[in-house]
Amino acid sequence: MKTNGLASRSAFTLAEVAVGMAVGIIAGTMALSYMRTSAILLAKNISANRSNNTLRNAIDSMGDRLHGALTMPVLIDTTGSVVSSLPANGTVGDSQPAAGVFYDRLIGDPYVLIHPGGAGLLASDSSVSLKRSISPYASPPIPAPGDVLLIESAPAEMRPRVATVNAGAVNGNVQTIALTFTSSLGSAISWSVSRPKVARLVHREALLVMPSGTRRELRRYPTFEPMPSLNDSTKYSVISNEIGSQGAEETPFYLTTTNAFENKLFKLDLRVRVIGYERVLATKEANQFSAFMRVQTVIPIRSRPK
Amino acid sequence: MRELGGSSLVEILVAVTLIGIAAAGTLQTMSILNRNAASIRLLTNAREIVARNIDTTLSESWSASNQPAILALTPASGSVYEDDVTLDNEVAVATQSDGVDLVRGVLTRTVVAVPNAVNADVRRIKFQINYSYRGRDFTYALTTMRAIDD
Repeated sequence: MKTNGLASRSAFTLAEVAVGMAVGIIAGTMALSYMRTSAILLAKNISANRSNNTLRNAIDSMGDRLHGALTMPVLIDTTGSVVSSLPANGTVGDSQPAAGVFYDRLIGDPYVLIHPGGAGLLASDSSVSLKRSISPYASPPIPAPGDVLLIESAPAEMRPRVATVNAGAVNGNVQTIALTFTSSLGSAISWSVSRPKVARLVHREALLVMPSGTRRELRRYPTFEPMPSLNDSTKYSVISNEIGSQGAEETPFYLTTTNAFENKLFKLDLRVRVIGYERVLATKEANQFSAFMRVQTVIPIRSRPK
Repeated sequence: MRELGGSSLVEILVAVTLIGIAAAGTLQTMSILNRNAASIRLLTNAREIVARNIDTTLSESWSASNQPAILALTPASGSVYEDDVTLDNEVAVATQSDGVDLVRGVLTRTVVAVPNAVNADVRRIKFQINYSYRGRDFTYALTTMRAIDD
């Protein structure tokens, strides 16, 4: 009688199956553990790099704009209202932290006002002509609607906002430009024909931490005069949507006076929490080590702050 | 039929060993990457600490009757300086979400006079921070020049 030579291998014994399953479970557990550990390490690595990248990008973006600020930034809250919390004159200390700031960014100078005759510009005037150099070594740009012309005057500096621009003829290295303002000056500006009257051109911008869902966004409003609708997404760009929303994280801006001579510095206490791995890392890192980052720094503005 | 019997124990052990080495190597590499990422983040913090003091140095009013403390002359080797309120001769390099300082460092300020032909009060200012993280020492420094306002 012929026998099937494979009959003895057609099945496994219970012991073989049990050993095989045990080995399989151990190998599978090790593989899963390896993949889980890898995933956590990867999440930590991505979070650590992203928190660093987010923070540096935010600081560099803000610094790029604030370095061009002509005057000390003004602290504002999430409604755009000015926060008046500076330390008293002559005292050293920090202001109350604020959600945002607005500032006048220098566009160009000098612009020489053309004397209109008489004593100068009248309070009812709503236009002016001026000259700018077009020399390649010094050529302030042609004003644009929305820019603000800063004109020194007594008792206070005038700041009419440009409505329309008519760039005129070029004569040599000088171009004449006619501007109309959004409203009349309101106060007369007097000066002698024999003395040039110069103006500077600025544009008011704002940086503001605003709520967005359960998180906070750091936004830049490229035009803040007049104040736009703060939640109109066409009026701002988002520098970072990973600003923390706990306690003081919502108010990263403040001013500080450093001595009795009222020197002021613009300071930033920025904290970011990166999005994406909150659940994975919820119990896997002490103090949100990878996902959280905080920097306290000073951002210098164009003119030495005083 | 012996060829169909499967791998030998030695072959399996070799394969498991290779897989284990590869896995361990991968995990160690990722751990090193994490450590490097954390070090780079700390360097960002250190840079900002030094930069904020350099910016403060350049922003303070300085006249013959008013010399800010940050511009006072120091020995050529510098002196320990801190710009926080702890008064423990250290500054926080990394502060975590619960307010605990993870890494602290020593900030050194060096301000020396710069001789010049017109005897103007010109000073060279250097800020340097030293800190340690996971057994390794790090240093970051910036130098600037400043003249009196008068």
